[in-house]
Amino acid sequence: MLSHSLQYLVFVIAVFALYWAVHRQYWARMAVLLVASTYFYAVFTPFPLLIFLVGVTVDHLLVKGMARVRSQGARKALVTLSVVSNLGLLAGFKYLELLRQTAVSLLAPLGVEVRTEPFSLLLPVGLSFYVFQAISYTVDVYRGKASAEHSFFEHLLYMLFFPRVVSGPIVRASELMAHFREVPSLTAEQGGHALFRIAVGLVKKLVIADVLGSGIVDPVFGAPEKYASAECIVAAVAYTFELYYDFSGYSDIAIGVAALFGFKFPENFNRPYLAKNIGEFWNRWHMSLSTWLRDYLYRPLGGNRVSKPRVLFNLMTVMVLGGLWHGADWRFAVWGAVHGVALGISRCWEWWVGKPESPGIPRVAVGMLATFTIVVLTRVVFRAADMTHAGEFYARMMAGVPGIANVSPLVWGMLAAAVFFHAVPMKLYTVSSELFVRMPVPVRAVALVLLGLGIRHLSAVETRPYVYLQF
Amino acid sequence: MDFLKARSTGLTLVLTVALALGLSLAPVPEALSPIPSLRRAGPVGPKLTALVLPASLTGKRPARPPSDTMVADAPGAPALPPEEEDEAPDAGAALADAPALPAVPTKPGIGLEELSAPTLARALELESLRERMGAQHVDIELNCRKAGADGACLEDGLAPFTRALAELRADTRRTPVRVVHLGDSLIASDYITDTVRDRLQERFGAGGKGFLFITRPASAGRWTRSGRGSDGWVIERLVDTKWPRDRVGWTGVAFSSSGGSQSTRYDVEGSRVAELFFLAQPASGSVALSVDGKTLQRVQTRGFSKTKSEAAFARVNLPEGAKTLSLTTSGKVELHGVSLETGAPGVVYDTVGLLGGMAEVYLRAQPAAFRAQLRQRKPSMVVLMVGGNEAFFYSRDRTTLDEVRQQMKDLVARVRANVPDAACLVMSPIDAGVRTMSGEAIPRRGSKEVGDIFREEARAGGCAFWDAYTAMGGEGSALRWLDEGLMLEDLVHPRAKGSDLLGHLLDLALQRAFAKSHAPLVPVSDTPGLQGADAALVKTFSRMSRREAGEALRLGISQLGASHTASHYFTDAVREVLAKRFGDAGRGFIAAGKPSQRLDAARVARELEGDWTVEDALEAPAGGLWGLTGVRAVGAPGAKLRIQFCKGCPDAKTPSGRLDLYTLDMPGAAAPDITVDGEPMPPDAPLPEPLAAPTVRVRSFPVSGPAHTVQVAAPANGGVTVLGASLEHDTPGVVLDALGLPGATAFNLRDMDAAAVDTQLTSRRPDLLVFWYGTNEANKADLDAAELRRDYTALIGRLRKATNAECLLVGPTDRLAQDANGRWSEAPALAPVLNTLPQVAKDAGCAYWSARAAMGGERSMLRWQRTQPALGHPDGVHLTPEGYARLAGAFVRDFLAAYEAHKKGQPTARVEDN
Repeated sequence: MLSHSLQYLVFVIAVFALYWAVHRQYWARMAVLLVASTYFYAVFTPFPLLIFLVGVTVDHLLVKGMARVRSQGARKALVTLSVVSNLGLLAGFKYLELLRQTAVSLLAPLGVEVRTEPFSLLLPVGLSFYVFQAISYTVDVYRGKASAEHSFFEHLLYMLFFPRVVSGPIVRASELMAHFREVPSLTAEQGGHALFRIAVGLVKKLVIADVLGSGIVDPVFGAPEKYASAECIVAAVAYTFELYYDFSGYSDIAIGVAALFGFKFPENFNRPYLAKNIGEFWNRWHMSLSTWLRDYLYRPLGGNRVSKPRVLFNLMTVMVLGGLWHGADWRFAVWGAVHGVALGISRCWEWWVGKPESPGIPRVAVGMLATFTIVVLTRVVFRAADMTHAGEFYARMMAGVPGIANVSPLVWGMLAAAVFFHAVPMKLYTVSSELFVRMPVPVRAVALVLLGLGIRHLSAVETRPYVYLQF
Repeated sequence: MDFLKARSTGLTLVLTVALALGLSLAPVPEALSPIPSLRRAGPVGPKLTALVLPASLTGKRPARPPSDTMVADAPGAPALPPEEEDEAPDAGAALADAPALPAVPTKPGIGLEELSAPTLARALELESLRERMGAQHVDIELNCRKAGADGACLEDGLAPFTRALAELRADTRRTPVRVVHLGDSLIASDYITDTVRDRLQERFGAGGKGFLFITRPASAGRWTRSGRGSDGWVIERLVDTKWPRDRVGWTGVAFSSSGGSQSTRYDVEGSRVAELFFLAQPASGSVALSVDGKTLQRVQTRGFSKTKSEAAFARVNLPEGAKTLSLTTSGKVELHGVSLETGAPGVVYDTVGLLGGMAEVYLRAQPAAFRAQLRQRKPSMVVLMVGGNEAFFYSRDRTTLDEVRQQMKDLVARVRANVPDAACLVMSPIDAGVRTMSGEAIPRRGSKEVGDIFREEARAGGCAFWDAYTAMGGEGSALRWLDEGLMLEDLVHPRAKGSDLLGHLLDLALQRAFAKSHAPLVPVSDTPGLQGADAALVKTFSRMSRREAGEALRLGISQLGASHTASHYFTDAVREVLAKRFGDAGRGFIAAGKPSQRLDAARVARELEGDWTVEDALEAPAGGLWGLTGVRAVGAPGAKLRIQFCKGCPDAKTPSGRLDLYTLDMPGAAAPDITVDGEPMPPDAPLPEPLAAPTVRVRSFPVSGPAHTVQVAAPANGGVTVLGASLEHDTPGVVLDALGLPGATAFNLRDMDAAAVDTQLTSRRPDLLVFWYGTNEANKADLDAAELRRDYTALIGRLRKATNAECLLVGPTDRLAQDANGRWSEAPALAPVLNTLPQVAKDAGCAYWSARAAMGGERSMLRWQRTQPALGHPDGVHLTPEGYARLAGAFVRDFLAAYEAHKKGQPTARVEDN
């Protein structure tokens, strides 16, 4: 039940009705959300719920332990245990097979016996997001930034809350769990904005991302040798936008649905392709992940308050690990490393020439173009099946094979729309949302139905899962 | 309501839903309908449910995210179907658990005739599924591969294949009939082709596993068509973006050991010949072939040319009883696969299914390697089963029908040119579907168009064509298959069950094509299954039903026959199943005679001490007095005979029962000394009048517990003639007597003294008499069929009258005779016997079951001889213990299926009028 499906919308309406019918009673509204979240995940696959249940139980006991003990050393041991157990979960289900394969290729030629049978473990949906959010809570408790007084069920709901459980955003305890005990409210404006946000998310995903994906990205990445160089370049650009509209569309729906229940999720994107340098890009792209990496990895490593070489090392470490977080494949590490190098160069440039106070339009334009180019080029590694395919794709891009006939007018149109909606001032969005909120209720309903009709006619023939579902 | 009071948001949602539903159901143009599927025919409720509830809850698809690894697939061409292990029921399992067959009216001539009983049972289940799914039997369009000057067709597109099968059937072929089946992901895990292979090998003999990859070429799927390779093989496939150019032929995958030694292992049980497919190249290494750990041969893969590489082969004979074959590389080596064959004539069915396979992909193969590998296999038929990916790309406007046509034309031309003596069969792609944004599944365009093109190119290229799309059910069938759980959620790949159905349909189409080209060797209608049971076995089934309902009654079955019965293997297996379900009322009758290992399984032992003569009725003059098996043991004075029941069983006091001793008492002779469990039995009560002639005497002794020994000692002043003994318990259940005389015919039973036979048989209290004669009659070149019909009918009538039992006739096994050149042919009178026995059954009011049909019909004995383990005896007459157990499984399955049908009030098949 993906969040752009009709089933999900019906599910949300049903839970919405139940929730607001009982919202004044703490236990009742908690029960509604917990049952709904469990149901939502179980529809995907029920087995990982057991893993999550065990994980939450362990973390909860550790958090309660941290609240009781006074000794700093004991608290540190408990939080370390939590981090290790959560990372162990991730390593076991996500990276064990990669490690085995790597060990086979490195050690087998030396005559070292390594298990040759694959582990064949299935990766539970949303595990990466679960683990990072779990760590954020226990570390925040350790740091005194989050309360340890939450009940087990609050803790469980925080981890399983259905609008975000599959692909985030990674929400801090202060942004979600801290509000469970407050009686929720939903003004007409908040509700209207939430519905508008969901509608925008659906359009982003179903109209722009899916059309780009099925119209140009899949065919060209599937068989680049059949396409001209320009078509490969268009496909790489299209994939860059597909990924953004896919994930930000998902995030809009998640944020909108959470808002319908009175919760405010953090923003996950801020028009990342307008970034003037790679550092800014990471401040605008998948913000809940990049801030997590900053708060729980980069800063504990020393952040910017260490020597310059150490800063560069920290950046590289964070980016490589952040890359690997996306998938158990060394190409993600390569992708992260390239971004790490780019970040390092950008940082060195800043150290060398300093940060310009008002860079001027040409410099901004060059910065944006260079940043966008790096992002597009690295996306090829992200999208290709493996490094060999990525290499072939690059070779085809550079081969100078003429022709662009395979890019259909629909794809051109959708690419133009993608660029336009990415670049328009945010004010346009705000005004549109306000306009929607001020509409009389029947007109709003008509507008939503018309929007649905529009999506039906403009969307790709087939629905596609979210790209980030695999992470 | 608080929901609506949540400001206007709830109201907006309610109105939006109402408006969307209203518009969807209102008679507005479809373009204005938000959910057009709601307006299609049928009640709205289920459609709404399907739209609103996740499919995993409605049971229509598994509760999984978009892929089976719980990780989203990279979108693109259809990928590998997930691994499934929905194996077809094991034929042997029929013995232990015999479920009822679905009542499917099957038309004659659809191709089911020559399947053995367990396979037929599975085929009938698939027929039931076919009916439900609206799938169809579609004949293969044979087309014409060779035309005369006048345009008349001289040879149809399948002729080389059907001719080769006919040679196998006539036992005139000494080489295997090979089929090379090239395809896409539908057969990557050997689904579809496994059913076809199994069936062809069952009908025509198994020639081995055929071509197998070095290791599994993809990260998922079954291991059935590959060895178990080490982890370091570098795998390059024709479907890869960077495919192995100028190296690989139709086998499609190159396995290289570039760094370090690599290995793979095959299970080679039953195989006698292995052939390694590899690339001979400059500066190449070697491969060590070892069998069960012992090195057999080292193959150098270095080519003769110092610059060129070429496809090469190395053939090795495997020692008898070899279990595993291991390949270990040394140096840089590229291997393509291994073929395993039994070395005996039979069908070998190679399957190569490449994920993403298309005609264009197979055209990527190096032409010389394609030709060399194909000629090496000497196939009788090449099957081209692509089109699914072509249709997918066509539906996405990523290819054109002209391109598809050209690629298939080129592939057909290549196959015809490379192996001009082989038949070729082109298949259309199957139906597929896609999912819209609302989650609704709709048919995907392309399959029909691509299929039509393939049909034209097959005809033009002289290949036969099979329309799998129409057989599946035409447009929309993929959606119906999805609803019934036969299709995966990707709407492209059938599940194991769906694949089985497709394999079933293809196999029957091949069988019909063969039947059209082949006149039966024996002109009989030999119908499988239990015929006429609904009228003939009413009382028997009624007693079985009452017994099952808990009534404490006994069900007596006496099976009279020849060596098939005398061997006990068949009856032991039948007894085991029936006793398990209806209860065990004892071992029944054991004839007097010499010690026999065949009785060991039933824990029965016979011993003779002193001077004994065991006589039988085979060559004796008519009118002799014999035991029920046609045997009598004549002991000299002082000789002792012991029959021990339940040898080795623990002592127990229950159940109570009776032990009957059958003797032939002579006038004036002293009574024998009888002991039961070591206790002397009291002397007989005096007879009302002295015996005037030899007379059958049945003495009954009460016993308790399961294990008993009866001993008969001839008096010192006279001899004794013992006919047999039986043990029965007072527990409700089945008693099955095996009353067989090796070499006997129905005429032998006819000629035995009627009163003696009737007396003994009546004392056995049978509810059902099973007659299994005919196999020996089939060997009588001078058999008088009319006499057989008349006398056998009269004999059955007499015995039925004496016992008031119902009857069931079992026909002969597929009895063959071998000439001086070692060639097999049907026993001389097999045809008249097969024609006569159903008539006898009909005349005598018995049910009829053809053992030969259950074995698989025509020449099934040859196939039973050549399976591993062998089911048929080398004499062409008898079966091995495994064969009897297999046949008994088939019999009891049919018998219980008829019983189940009777319980439900359904008629079973009628005895055919010939």
